[in-house]
Amino acid sequence: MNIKKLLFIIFVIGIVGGIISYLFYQQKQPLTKATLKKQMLTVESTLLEASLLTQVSYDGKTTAPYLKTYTQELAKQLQQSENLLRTAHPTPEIQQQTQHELQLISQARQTVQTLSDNPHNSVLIKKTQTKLVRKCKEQQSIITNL
Amino acid sequence: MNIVDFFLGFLAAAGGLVDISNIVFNPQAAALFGYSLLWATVVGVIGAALYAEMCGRVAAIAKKSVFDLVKERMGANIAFLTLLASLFLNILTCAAEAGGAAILLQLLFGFSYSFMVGAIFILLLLVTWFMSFKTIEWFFSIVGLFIGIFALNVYVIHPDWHAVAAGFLPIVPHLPQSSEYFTYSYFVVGLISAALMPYEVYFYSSGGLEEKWSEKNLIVNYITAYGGYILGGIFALGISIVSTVLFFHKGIYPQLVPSALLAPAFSFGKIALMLTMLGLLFAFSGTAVQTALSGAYTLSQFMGWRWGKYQKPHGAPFFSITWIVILLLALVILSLGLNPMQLTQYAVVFSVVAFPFTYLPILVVANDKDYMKKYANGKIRKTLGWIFYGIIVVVAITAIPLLIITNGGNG
Repeated sequence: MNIKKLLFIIFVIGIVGGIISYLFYQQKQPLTKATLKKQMLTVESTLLEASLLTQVSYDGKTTAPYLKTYTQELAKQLQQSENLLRTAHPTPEIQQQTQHELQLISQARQTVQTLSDNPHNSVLIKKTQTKLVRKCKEQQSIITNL
Repeated sequence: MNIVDFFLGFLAAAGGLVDISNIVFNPQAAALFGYSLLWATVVGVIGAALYAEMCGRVAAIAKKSVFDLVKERMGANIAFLTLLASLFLNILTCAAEAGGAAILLQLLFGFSYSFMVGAIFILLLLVTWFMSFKTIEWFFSIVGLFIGIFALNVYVIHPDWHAVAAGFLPIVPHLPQSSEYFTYSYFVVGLISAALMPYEVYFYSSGGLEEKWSEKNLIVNYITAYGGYILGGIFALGISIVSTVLFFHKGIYPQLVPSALLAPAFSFGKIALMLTMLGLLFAFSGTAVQTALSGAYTLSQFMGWRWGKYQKPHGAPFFSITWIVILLLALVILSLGLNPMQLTQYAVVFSVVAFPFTYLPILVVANDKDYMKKYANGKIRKTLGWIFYGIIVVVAITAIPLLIITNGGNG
């Protein structure tokens, strides 16, 4: 086999792989314990990130447009997780935890969204940080007990 | 070329290496694997510098662009496939970079994202239409150098220097789950590919031809490629190191453009945050223009049209129409609501499909004494060239399966 043919095969593998990836990459999976846990870890990551952001912002190290845009994006991430869990079909053993998780995400999203609407308010930044730290702990405890 | 031109060219290469792919892959790799992937960035940067220098030398001596070499060495059919792949990837990369720039404008000024997407496209169209090749390269890359704040940040944030040093050794760490080895491999491939995006060599070699490089420019080419890329690599490593300190072992997996900016804000405060945002805005915008022009260069070179930024737009009409269409298609992609971070991931991973066809002709011609005379690769560069070509082929074969297996690095 000459080098051109070999390179052509690599090229074709790449294209076919791309199409397969595009078609099947984000196919819906049933909500099992493992997928719920993965989703919870994603939410935990977002909450920790938001908490770090509020800490840096409370120290006066960020600008209002940065805080506003960043919190908007974090709220969107939480909204995506919320939508995913709301439309999922959890197995009976994790239905209660899924509902609990939905409540937690919804409350956290509203907290982050409120800050996004008032990025100049330093009292609100502090309050948001406190709430987010509490939500992170709550999330960690849910993950541990799952 | 005077000393100012030379210095600006060097800085332009450094500023030009860092783009949105470094904001996607470096913080995420650092968040998951800490310093243990620093070596992958080094491999990517050395490979990129090695091939950039070769294609600059080929442009100066053989007076051929990279795409001319692809056509000549690989034949018209493979050149056509490479052209299609590179055009598609240029559009995707242009959309990702312009989207990233729009997010940065939003972070700087606070207006809506859709408004900023419109604003950035008008700016890019005007800049590309009115500015010369050199001005474009310098204008974006020099301001883009504010991203050097990430490198300064490393000294302030006090990393564990022993762990940093160990990260430069290509040793796979012990990972708790076997599936994490796939994720680790995915990020190795992502970090290497991010440095080796093909549009860079198409743009660089066409730029050399535009500036009518000759053997007199070889030293400039050498220092621009190696010095500039290595400085750019230091900036990229800075992003990885500060992201490790901020995110690793803290359960944070950054998935947003502003996440990477937390580190300069954390260490230096508002001014550094704004300067870094400005630096990234210019770096992303510069890359968006480069990808649009790179697409226009390749298509024009394939079709035999007149091309070049040194021509007035009406002097090379098809070339000008092509870059305008690429910018407009990128705008359409962003208007569909696709996330620039995800677009970047796809653009980087799928770009590997074009790697083997793009880099092999450069190496073959740079080795060829008939073409290059006394400027052909010596033993060391030839050996290094083949070693890196081997790496490029491995990356090309594994990238897309790894993207699928690891769900884009999300496990």
